[in-house]
Amino acid sequence: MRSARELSERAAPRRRCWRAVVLVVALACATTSVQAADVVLVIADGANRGFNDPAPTAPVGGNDGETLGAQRRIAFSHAAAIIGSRIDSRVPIRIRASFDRGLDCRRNAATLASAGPATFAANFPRAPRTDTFYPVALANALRGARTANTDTDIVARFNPALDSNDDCLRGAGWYYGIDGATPDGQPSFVSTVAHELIHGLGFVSLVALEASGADRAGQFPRSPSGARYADIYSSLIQDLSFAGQPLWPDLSDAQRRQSLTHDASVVFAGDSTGANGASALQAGTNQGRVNVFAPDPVIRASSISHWDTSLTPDQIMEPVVPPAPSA
Amino acid sequence: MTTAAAIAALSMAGVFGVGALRAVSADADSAQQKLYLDPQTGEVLDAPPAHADGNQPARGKARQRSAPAEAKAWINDEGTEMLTPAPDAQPDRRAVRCDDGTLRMGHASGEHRAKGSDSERDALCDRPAS
Repeated sequence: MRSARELSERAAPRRRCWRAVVLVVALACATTSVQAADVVLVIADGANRGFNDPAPTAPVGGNDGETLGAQRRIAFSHAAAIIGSRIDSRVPIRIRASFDRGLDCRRNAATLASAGPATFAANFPRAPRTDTFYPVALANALRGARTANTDTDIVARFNPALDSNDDCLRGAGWYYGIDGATPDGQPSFVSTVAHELIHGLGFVSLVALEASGADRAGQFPRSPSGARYADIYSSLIQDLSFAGQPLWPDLSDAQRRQSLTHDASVVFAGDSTGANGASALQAGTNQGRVNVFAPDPVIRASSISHWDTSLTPDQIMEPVVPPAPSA
Repeated sequence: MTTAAAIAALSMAGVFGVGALRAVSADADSAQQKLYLDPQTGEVLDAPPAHADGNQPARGKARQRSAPAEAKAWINDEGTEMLTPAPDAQPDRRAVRCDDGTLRMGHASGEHRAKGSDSERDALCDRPAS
């Protein structure tokens, strides 16, 4: 297993103009160096809960926090620093995070975490594309200022039951170490935070995966004007199985619904992502473009908003994490 | 195969330079009690330099919905079209405990996807590692 810190150190000397995919989606590489973004953790937990839990805890895996809350903040900070170091934004990214008792946890299954952009913005000053929703952190980065009437960019929730309920995943417990040496059978809090923050930065599609309310599967969300706008991530989804290999905004709603399950034909069309994928991946590309997760049938909260599981080596934005290999 | 904790070259930038990371209690925010942590060590630091005016959170009445039951489209004070997604539209990360003691993280599909069901667990545990 490769630790997040190792990856940070590996990345350091390369000084190449790569950015998080969420930014690759829309930002041209305007400079030869990338500025780090400040990340602000806004703790939404009350006193003595979640990130403020005062329970004494022994140090673990390079995390010297002396309480459960401190270890959670340190591990979160570690993951957020890695992500923030790779993002070009002069506007601090504010993440409202909490440990939410409402997330389910049973003996054999649990929701570890959930996160996404707090809001999306369209037709803001300096927006590269009109009538397109951008996650607010990306909108802020593009315009160089905070979008009005927003104070949160990402909302993230984590499951506290892993630490407090011995029956939750049979007592697995979060691993708060920051050394990348996650023990078998324990979920890594650092890698989970990183995965969720990337979703929150915009690695997520707003397309309806199934019918809900007034939306049919395959439709984009409605804007305040009533028109349906694509999100910038979905704008770069391409289906290679249709004639002309169109991008998603060029498909009808019905075609886009079909595309949701077109498996290896569904790719991410960003040029930078394709170029980086060609050099970094041994599998998981189609015509030089990286495969998006589009299984049949659709998987709620997973399809499209992840890389395909065929990517090799595995990527943090794949939907399924296999068990760690035995030593 | 390496674990997906890898923020591999595909999706990550190569330039290093950690930005300041701050932890702020939402409850304490209004009282200006802010905790600044070293992102590497978690140690408490002195406050970093103030940011440019344009980097401060917008003042005035905040209309950002924190948790609407359904997606909400709205217009902010600048006339920008906004969309606040419903919480259940956010991607979540599931984990199941397999009989061999391993954890699998992901989502089951189709008829297996009922959260917490045996079929969800079986579907994920039976899935070969990629």
